[in-house]
Amino acid sequence: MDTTEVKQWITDAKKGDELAFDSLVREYYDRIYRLAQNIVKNEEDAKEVAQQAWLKIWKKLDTFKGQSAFYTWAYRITSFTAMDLLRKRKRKAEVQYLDELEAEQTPDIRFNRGEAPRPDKAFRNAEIREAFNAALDKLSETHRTALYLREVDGLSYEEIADVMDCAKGTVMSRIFNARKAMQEYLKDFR
Amino acid sequence: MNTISTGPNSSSSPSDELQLKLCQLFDGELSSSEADALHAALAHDPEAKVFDDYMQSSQGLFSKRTAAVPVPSMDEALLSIHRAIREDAAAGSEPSGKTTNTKPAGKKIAFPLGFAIAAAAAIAALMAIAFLPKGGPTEMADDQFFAVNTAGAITTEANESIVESIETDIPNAIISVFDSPEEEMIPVIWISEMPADLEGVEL
Repeated sequence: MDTTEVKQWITDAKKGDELAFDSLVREYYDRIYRLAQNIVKNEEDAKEVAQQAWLKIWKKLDTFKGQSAFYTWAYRITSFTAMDLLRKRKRKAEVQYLDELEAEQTPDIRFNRGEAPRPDKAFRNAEIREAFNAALDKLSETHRTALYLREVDGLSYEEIADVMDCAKGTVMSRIFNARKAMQEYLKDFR
Repeated sequence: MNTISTGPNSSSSPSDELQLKLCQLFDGELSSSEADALHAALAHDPEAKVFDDYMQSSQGLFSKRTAAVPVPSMDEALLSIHRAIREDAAAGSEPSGKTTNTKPAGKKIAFPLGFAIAAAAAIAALMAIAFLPKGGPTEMADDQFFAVNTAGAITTEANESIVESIETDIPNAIISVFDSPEEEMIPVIWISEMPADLEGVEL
């Protein structure tokens, strides 16, 4: 749960204290931004989502009851905002365009699998990271988000369920299926 | 869409179940007493062992990837957030007249009215279904079909125009569009009630 300091910032921000609100932003902006970036997959959209999420947090802070940690509440707003942006983009068929563009720009990792192994370990590690990133980007937003919240933020299944507004069993299933898909994609790469 | 299939398997083998348990164990969602039994079973299941090895070896890769993401400077972030707050206040989206110097007070939720409109539409559609000639052809358009489930949410098979009309009627609703499991069907839209702690948040 939130520290005493964070609780005080929340209390003060609810009263309209901008400095206290700024303290919350300073404390959590990076995590909010990175979650947004993980979902929308590009810098400009991530900035927009983060900004909109913080605007919503400011406007709705008085509804935050402290029953969950502030960051899970903030994450929830962020993930909904990001998903909503993607949904609107999909409607405009922009995502399809981006995917096509991305497919053109991203080298096909599988194409390189048959090549002779490079002796340079650093290069090999970079190659693995690249493959890992490419595989992650191929997961659906919901699977990637569930995995992100677990692996990066260390949230429990229950907290992730709270953030993603779904059942704990759904979280478990999403994380498992995401890992299986990642393993499948990377199995020939090892 | 170029995505990896992450759909549930139609049949789960004992190995799948073991791997699912290993996944939970890896995430700290199982007690240590269960860990011993799982590790014993692992020795007899090569497929599960490979999965466990994958989880162990990939640990940290996600964090490294995330850490490598450049984050805007805090000054830039604060500036953009405060600009958005001021623009929002200036746009008059807050009837209370709140500015950045006042207490944040969200506008009253508009959900019940919007939900009532949608519910009325759903009831009308159901009545239309009830009065269709029995055995006759159902020429009802896809975007006219609604069904109210027991949880009070609404599902509908619809096209994009209906999504827009729902957004207009229920500005605070969470609308999720799922691909239909059957290819020939159009996407399924799920409208769920706004969670209590997000009421009034425009999503």
